[in-house]
Amino acid sequence: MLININQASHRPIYLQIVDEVRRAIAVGTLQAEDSLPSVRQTAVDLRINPNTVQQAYRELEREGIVHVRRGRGTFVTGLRDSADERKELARSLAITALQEAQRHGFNLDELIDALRLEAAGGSTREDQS
Amino acid sequence: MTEASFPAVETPTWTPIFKAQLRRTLGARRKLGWVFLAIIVAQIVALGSLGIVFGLHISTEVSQDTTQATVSPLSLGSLDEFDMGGRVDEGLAAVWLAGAASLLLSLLWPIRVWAGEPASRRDYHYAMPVRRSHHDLTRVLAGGVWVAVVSISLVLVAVLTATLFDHTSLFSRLTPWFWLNLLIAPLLVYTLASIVYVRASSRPSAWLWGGFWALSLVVTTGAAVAPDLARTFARSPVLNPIRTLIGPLFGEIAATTVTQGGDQILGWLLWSTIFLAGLWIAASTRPKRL
Amino acid sequence: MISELHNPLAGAAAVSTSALCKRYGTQIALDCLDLNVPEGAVYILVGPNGAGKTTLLRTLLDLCRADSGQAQLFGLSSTQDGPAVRSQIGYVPDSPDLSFTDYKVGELLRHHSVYFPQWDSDYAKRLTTSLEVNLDSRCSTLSKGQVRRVQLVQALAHRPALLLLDEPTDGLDPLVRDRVMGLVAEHLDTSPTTVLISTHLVHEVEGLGDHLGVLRNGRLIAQLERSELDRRLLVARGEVSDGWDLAPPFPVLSHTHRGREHAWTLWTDGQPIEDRLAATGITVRSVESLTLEGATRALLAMETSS
Repeated sequence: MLININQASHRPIYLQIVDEVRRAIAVGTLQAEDSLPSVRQTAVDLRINPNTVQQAYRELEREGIVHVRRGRGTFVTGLRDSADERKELARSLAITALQEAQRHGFNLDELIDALRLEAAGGSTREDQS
Repeated sequence: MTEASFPAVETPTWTPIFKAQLRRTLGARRKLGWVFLAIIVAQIVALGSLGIVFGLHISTEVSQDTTQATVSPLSLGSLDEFDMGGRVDEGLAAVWLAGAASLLLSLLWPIRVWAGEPASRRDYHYAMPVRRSHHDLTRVLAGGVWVAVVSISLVLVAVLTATLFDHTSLFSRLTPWFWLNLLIAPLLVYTLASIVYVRASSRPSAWLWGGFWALSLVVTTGAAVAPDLARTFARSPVLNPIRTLIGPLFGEIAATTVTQGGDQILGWLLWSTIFLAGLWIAASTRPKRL
Repeated sequence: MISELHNPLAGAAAVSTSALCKRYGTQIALDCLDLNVPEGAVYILVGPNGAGKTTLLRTLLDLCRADSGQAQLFGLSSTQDGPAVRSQIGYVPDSPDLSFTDYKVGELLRHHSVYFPQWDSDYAKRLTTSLEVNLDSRCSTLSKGQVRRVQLVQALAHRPALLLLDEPTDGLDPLVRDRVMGLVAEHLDTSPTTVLISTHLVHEVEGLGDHLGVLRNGRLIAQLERSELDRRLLVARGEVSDGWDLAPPFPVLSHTHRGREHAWTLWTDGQPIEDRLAATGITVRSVESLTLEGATRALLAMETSS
């Protein structure tokens, strides 16, 4: 899997890693019993402190998403239903959307309406990036 | 807050450090051969041209006036008493030049030893995990080894040249002190110059010049204010460093020192003690600014 | 001045200074500095040019002497136990100057290794390869950036307990900078190291730093753990109605507004703040923590305005 983070983001880096692992599991690029990249590899790839990666992996382990096999690495836990994972991911997406909506001064109904309209192809704007 | 402690690590040992400093003070090895060649060529050229232009005489008559050579502090000794009609001895002149060359070289050698590291840019040297005074002295010692090597080589070249052209007739009259001084004098001059480079400021050459002029001033003033005392100092082969170190080379080149071996040793002891003490102090103290 | 910005840092101290002062003539370089770097930290020491960063690092190595105060490194005194301290330090100095001008890089590294018996030559070889250091180049012919790379190899290859890096990426091109950060990240994982990086380019070390010290005019105006910063130093954006003249119930580091829209940088107590802001009449739009770079800017701005 490829972990992508944005160091200029306000979201703490370890949480961004947690998000990324969740995303990979939800879309299926990480499956049960797959191993996560090693702490060192991730730290080197992302140019971040290995402790931060460890913190992220600990968080994932605490949530039961991965488990550590001593001396062998960190593996995605099989028991967990990927439907649960999808639900969790959708929830975090929803949180982001809600926060953004609030920042722009929209309430929940306005946001939902806009989402529905957009999903139905109601918008013809082309300037989306 | 508690203190963490360092893990145990090996400490560096001085033998490899000394070897590293030997390489460091020599500089680029590939240039060394050229340096030696240049010195030898320069010596031969200088010898030849001096002989021709000035008809350099170190006459035998000089050596006959053994006990009472009058030498003023800064004069070149018996050159006053040149006898243009006397016997020319190129062999002696070659040794003389070798001695002069190594003295000059030993005065300048600290520049090589501290090249790229004037006192204001010596962080790398001082960031090394060894006691700094010892580190300085190791560097100076390593440079001193090369001074000795170069001095001995120069004299050997001179002696070999003289032997080759059969100009060794006067060598038999030279004392062991004279030969030994060809090694000791450059080392002492090197030690003296090193003091300036070890302690120094950002401009060691300014210190050298300043020291030279200060000394000249002291000598001149001393001679004017207390001429008797000055004369005693000037004539003493022990108290006058110029006579101790350079005297045998210039003024009393032949037999003079035969009778003064004791004085010569005393002079060496006195001035090496003073210079080494100066070096030790220079290495152990650092400017507060740094 | 917010005193909590100087909370003592948790953990065993790798580096601690107490009331370190140093002046050059009338210019104050270090002003009663109490630096505190916990063992295992990656401490980012940040500040504008001339803030005293270089003087501080050189004092730790006893390359310059403080006028008063003292520095302890892993419990040893910087001045009394110099050799023992320096044998455990990897140092990248501020000046890109190798001194040994007539040496080849390979010769220089061999010379350097003599002083560090724990020198790991395999590691040195890997470092030179990945930093593209040419061992056959003469030191006098190296560019500023190439000298920096050699200095990094010198600092890292004996795997010291403490790394003091003074502007380690100064003079490096973006590609090599990035690679250096990767090497430091790897180094952190392979060798237990405490790192003190001085820089004024915080964004480069954004991912590595877990402690921040902000230095200005020789004074540490803040010294904090990253997690503490993330939790407590927040930017709140929101709107207020006309005529609103209250203030957020927290120390404000900076405040900007355009019309009704306001942004505050706040030093909070770490508990959720939205409701408490709303109680003062602010319609909160967002509350975010800052990046190291943003935090640095906010802390430096606070100092000038107070």
